[in-house]
Amino acid sequence: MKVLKLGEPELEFGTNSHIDIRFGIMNYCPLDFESDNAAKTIRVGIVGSACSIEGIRDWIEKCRHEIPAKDSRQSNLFPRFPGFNPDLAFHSELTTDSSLERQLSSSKINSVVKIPVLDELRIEAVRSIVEEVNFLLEKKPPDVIICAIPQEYVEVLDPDTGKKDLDDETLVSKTIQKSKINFHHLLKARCMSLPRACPIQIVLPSTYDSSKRRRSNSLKRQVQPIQDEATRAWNLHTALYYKAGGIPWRLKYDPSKLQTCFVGIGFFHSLDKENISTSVAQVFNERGSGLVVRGGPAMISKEDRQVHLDADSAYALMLDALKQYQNEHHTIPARVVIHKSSSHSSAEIDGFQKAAEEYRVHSCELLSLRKSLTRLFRNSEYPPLRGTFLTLNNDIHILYTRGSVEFYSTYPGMYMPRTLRINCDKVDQTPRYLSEEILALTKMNWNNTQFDNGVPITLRAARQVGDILKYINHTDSFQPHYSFYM
Amino acid sequence: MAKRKQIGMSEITGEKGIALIHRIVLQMGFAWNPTNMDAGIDGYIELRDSETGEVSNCILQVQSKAGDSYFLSEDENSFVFQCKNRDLEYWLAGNAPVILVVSRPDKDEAYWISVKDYFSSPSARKNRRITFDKKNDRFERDCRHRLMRLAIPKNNGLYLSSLPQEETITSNLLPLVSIPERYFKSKTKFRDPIQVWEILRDSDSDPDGEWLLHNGFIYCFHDLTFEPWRNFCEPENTDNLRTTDLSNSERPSDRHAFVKLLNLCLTQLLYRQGIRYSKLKELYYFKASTDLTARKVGSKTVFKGYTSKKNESRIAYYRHQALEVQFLQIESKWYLELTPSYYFTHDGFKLSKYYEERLSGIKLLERQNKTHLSHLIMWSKILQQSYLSSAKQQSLQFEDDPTEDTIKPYSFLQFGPLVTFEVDFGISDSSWLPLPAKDNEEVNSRQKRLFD
Repeated sequence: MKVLKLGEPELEFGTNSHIDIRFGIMNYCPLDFESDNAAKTIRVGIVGSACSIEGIRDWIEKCRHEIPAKDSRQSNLFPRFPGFNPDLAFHSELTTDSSLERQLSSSKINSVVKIPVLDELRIEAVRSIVEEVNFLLEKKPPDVIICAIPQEYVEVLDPDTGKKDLDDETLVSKTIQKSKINFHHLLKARCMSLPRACPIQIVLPSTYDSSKRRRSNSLKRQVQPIQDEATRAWNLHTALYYKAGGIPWRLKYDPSKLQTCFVGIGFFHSLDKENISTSVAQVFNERGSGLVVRGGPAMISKEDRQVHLDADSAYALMLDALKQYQNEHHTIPARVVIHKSSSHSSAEIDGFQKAAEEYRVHSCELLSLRKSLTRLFRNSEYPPLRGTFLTLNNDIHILYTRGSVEFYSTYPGMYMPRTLRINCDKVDQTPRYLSEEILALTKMNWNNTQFDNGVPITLRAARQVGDILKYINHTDSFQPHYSFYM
Repeated sequence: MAKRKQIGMSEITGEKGIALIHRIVLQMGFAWNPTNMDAGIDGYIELRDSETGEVSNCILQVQSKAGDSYFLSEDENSFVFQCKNRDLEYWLAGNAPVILVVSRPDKDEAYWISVKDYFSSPSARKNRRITFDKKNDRFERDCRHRLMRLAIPKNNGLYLSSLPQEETITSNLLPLVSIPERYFKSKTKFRDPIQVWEILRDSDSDPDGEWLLHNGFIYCFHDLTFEPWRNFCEPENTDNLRTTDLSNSERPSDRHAFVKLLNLCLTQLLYRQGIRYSKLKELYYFKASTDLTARKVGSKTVFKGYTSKKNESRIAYYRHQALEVQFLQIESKWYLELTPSYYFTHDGFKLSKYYEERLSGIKLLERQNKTHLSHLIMWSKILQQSYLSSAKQQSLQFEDDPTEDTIKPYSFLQFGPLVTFEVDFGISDSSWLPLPAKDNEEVNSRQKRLFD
């Protein structure tokens, strides 16, 4: 057993590299800012109520110019937002106009919020929004559509469970309606099934209006702390840039390395409680272009009680992933790295390898990644540094993907950080090399501009995609691009 | 009695070196900000327009080395400074310009170089030596312009690698150092553990629990050819086997049986010290004291009632220290992974209705390492049965069974101390801000709260 510290991986931006996303974009522009295909003008459609459309429109307008940094002593954690305009940082602009807006009528909203059964209410709320999205797509589809969820919906979609009196155990608490339907996932699933679909961005009122904080059911019954305005601007605009086809940053390019494709494999239960887990894979290249592949059913093995594919399904999944990659990038990667949420059985190893050999992939590496409770403690206030790397034996390693971050001069998390357990089931590179790669992949999340994400994008995406594919029939077609799922 | 902090000569020289730099920087018309860290960078020079006094927001990081001992191979025109590899790696990482100032404060002499420029070639990096030219590299007021060319804007997001400093890191892995060498396996006609329990209870009011009914066999660390075990085993079909054959078996079901046996032993070990297992929450917790008064182990409160905020005469809930565990095999050795937690009851026994909320609330407060680490250490001592040496018995404050004066240590399992590591990277906690937990404004909610 030994402990090392892996350095914070650098990302590559337009003119230089940096470890931090916001400073990277601010000083060095997005990776593709000089290319002809860059997202220079992003046509944004908006769907919402009169009030939420106005709110998001005004805020987008405001964000064309600088949003000052939060008044904090942690200047690296809360930098200013430079403004989203063609002259600096993103070198891009958002265009909105009334032809790209669709309003939900107040009578429609009122009829939806009166539905007594929560599941039905959620389905109807989704339906009302999807109708308007469909209208926008029938004309000239925008690059991305913002679904500005009306405040009236926010209040009924997640009924307030915060009326608990923790002080008194004897009181009978109000029973809350249990709902099986997830509004967010269902909305994404329905919107991507439309003809000529484009990616959507769901925005809650609290994003552009701090007075509309969401109630939370935390201990103190206080509202959830909301991020500062500059941070919210960073997150929204970065996500929009990516969804409009822009490439904000990439993993650091090293010409001596093999061209690699990263595949994340996760499992999800179907909605019908049949408990048939289906596998999904996410295929990423170093530039973060993500493709979705749907695999066959998986089984829980009696041997190790984990979810596994049989050899044929593993082979088919990998073949499909490589085919997608080839169609998209017109080349075959020299190396494939699989990140899976369960260990690799011998049948899976055989299946994956067979497909890789068929496509003449030079190297195929299989890792399983799971959250772990193995922890390390410093004898002081702060948890270990992100990048702390504990080797248990040659095949099993523990990595702190969240932890104290020097660049932020703090630990920016809410709870004691959990670690990531990395099992090298079949590898060519050293565990350290593979773990540095995982640490770099935690920074490839375009939904968040704080770089210390807990899981690499491979697994994060596999989970997000699974959440949404649940709502799409197995026989129906689905969108192959990750930007529809994030 | 803690040792008094002593200040050695070298520290005084170090302070003088920084004072010298401070004076020269002021002469240049720039601002000096010391970092007061134990290691790494000693301070920043912030450029200022000497005419207007405006701060330009451009900075340089400075590392000071003061004292005669740094001047090697010295002659009239030059001297050599030998860098430590660790220092050099630290200075070269990141994107901020770093200057190294080597000085003799007593003689008002200081020399400087820009580290990143000096070591831009691999050959220079290899031997880690810097040759200072005493004439050109003198650190004095006139190198103002050269410094200005080096500095970069502060809002570029300066970063360095982690501080080279030594720390001890404690893991939450407790090595299992001894287990019974042999185990017994016997065929049985029983298929339901409840039947076995009945037979055991007939012969002993408090029977041993370290046995397992698995696939028609009884696995046990006790000799099954003796009473009361013979009553439901087939003594002629009983094997006396090596435990390592079970624990290192290729078959998952064997290893599974072994881990189950270990957990059963663990339950017994903890039971003696007044710790119970909750099947529902899958954790061990300190049971309530008989009169519901607070209970302590050493200096730690392990069970306590909390009064209602509205009505001080009423107890709102009880909090029990708890522990989640998992056995892990690493390189044929076994470890117990410890995760301290809490258990909440309404009256000492019945689960609190707001269990999840209470747990989440306390975990929010316990983000700090220190509290959690002290609980971890307490649990490791309990598992090593350190409190059972006769002098410490009273610290367990038992009142369960007055007939038994002392608790006998459990012999089937023995644990060693928590695995620790010496590492050469760390954090200068003192130079960071207090944890956001103490400062609500700084709580940084995660992205998912915003868009989900």
